[in-house]
Amino acid sequence: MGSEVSLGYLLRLPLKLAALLVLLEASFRWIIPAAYTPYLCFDEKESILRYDPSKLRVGLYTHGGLAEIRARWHINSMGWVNAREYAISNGRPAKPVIAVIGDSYVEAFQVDSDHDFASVLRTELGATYEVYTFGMSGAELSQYLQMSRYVRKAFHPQVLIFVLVDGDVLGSRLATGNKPGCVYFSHSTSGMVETLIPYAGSTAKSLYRKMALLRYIRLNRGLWVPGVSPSGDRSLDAGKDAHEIIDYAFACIRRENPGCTVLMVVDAPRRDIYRGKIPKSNIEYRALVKSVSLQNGFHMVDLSDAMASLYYANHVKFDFDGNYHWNEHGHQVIAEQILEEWPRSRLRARIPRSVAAPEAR
Amino acid sequence: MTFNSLEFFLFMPVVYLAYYFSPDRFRWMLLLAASFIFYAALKVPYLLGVLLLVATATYAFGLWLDRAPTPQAKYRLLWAGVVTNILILGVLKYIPFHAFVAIGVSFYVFQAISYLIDVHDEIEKPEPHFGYFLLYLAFFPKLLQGPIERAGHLIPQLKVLRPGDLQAFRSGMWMIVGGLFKKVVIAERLALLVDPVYSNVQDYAGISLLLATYVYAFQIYYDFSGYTDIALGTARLFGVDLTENFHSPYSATSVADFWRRWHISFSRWILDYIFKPLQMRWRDWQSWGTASALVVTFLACGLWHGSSWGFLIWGGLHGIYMASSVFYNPYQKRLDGVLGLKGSPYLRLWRILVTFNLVCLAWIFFRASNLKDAVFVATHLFGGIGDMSRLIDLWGFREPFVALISMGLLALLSFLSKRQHLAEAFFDRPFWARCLVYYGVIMYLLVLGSFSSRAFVYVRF
Repeated sequence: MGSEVSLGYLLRLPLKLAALLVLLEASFRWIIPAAYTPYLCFDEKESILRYDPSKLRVGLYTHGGLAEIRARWHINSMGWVNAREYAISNGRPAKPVIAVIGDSYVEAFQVDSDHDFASVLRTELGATYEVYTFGMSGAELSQYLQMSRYVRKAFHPQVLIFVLVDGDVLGSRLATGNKPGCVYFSHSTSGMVETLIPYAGSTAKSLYRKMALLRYIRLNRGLWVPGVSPSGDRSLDAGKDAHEIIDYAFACIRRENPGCTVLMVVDAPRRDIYRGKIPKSNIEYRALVKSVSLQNGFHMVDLSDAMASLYYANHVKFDFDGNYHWNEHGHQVIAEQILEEWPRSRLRARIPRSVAAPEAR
Repeated sequence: MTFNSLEFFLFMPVVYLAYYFSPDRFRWMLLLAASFIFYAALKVPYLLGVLLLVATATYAFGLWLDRAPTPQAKYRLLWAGVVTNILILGVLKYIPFHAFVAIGVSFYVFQAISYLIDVHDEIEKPEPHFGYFLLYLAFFPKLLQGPIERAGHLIPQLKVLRPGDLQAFRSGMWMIVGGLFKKVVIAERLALLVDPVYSNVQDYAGISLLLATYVYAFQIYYDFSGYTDIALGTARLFGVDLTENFHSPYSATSVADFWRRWHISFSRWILDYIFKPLQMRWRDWQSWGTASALVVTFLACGLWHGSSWGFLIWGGLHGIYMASSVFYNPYQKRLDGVLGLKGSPYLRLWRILVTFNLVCLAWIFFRASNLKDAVFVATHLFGGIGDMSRLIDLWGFREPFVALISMGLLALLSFLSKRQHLAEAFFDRPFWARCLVYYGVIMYLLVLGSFSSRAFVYVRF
């Protein structure tokens, strides 16, 4: 039998561990920089989450073991991920506004701020329109609806673009939703109910933000993040629940935004495209979004066909290895698809100013 | 909780410190409580109930067996105890539609059965202390995936619990790190190729299927042996030695040799409690009796893994490999002698290759989602090169490179540690030098680990 594990040895262990942690912390600050994301804050008045521009305005987002994905982000004075300020004078913006609402795909931390699809739209349409983005990581369709209310009040947009990705619809259910500061849907006898999960800042979170090692583990490697698959796998938005949620959310958007052109951008089932097989359930989901969009007088950009034909022609993926968010190529394709739909969207009648629903087409 | 969860890495130091500072007589209670917390963290409430049911029934049958007045009564009690355990396992694991989660159950039910047989055969005395017996079944490092421990090996250790000495502490910690390395750097990375190919086998042909099958052989080895290393390392911190489960299985020179090296605690179990009694019963049939016993034993082995045709065929194939060796072994030995190949390194290498390929053929049925897929893979392994670009899309060049380098590093360390006293040499170094090594290992794990929510493969058995 060898020597025992002495109390002194056990007491020295934390010190040794601390020395090791200092080395690791230094490595993830200066050698492989850990991701940095902006500080969240909750806007009590509008009941939405935004970023806190008073704390940090610029940062470096990284992802992957060797921080292979690197991009700079900017927070504007209104708390949104955008290098540009959202100009408002006398309560109204100078030019008509195109508001893009979505989740982390609209934030687009993964690409430099001048390479996301909104920037491409701004370049193409900037003479006539302002393009403002409102993205919030982890937001679902229910939260997009909430954000659209804030956007309508603050920016009076002429065009609303919603970006729908896998899981946005079923992720809106209160039963599965848990992000503090976000709104979720649930059923009641009187119909769909919107519930806001109370927001509370956390000391543990602020501590974690200060430690590069912890940020690296969580943000770069996606380790130990409950319910999140690093590969981006999310539940498929199908079934009766999905139908009801889409019906309700789209009807609210239509009713609350009279005179506004609405464009639904639906992400392609990229993983299935790479596999060469698009499952029937996904086709059904996109058909559902299309039919409800048409019923409400919205336009829809389904990215599936464009992405499939491009991928089969040149085998270039639209996302990163190990990160399912769009890469620059993906953003470029999305911008092109929106611009292709654009002349048609502009020419078509907008939602009538009366709240009455237009006839289903 | 599982060994690659955050909870486990918070749970372990707390349990260790509590164990270290608690008086000797309370240590078993502490480990028992920790085991319950560990099992309860799976959030399947009935599992704790099942564990208690198996423990109580087996404990009672053990005591009754000891007090049974006649051999016939003993025999009946043994069967009653064994059937009770099998019924519990059967209800949880084999009823259709997989209504229940049975994590860990098949492992501790096998322990319970071996205990009853050993008590019946008077190899072991029944354990009078229910607490120790319960801990024998529930000891958390081996609860979910084994090793399947014998009462004679584990219970005496649980009665004299003390923290492992410094050497055990250090080697235990290294085993835990090594196990994690096997899981997150190697097995998870290999799964990146295997999972997509085996989920859509019809989309791939020839070399892609062959490669995915070979890669799976290593994935399951690194996954399972990684888990076992963490289990053994954890137990070692508490001063408990668990059974080694792996011994370079793919360097086996025959399928029989493979089973002496693969999932050792399980293969010994089926050998002792299924094969040997059958062989005794059928000894009059001579070679045919042995061969039949082997086939039945390995069919049971397949069935233990699950009630699918794939597992049954996997077990059946191993049974056939082993049974046929009963007949051809004498001729093979004679032929080797005539050709002067006895002891030849080339012959050894050839046998390793043949064994590995036979094992891989069986793995197809083990891994495929269903029998149709398995037959497709088995019949299309040599269907040409196919579309390699899809394979490159899946795996790229970096992933196989990192996997190969990591496997090479582990093999080198294992080779060196057999020849030199690496551990002693390492701990003789000054702290800053050791710290650099720890730093390197943790960086390797964090930077090159492939992290996903994939559970350990064997946890579902």
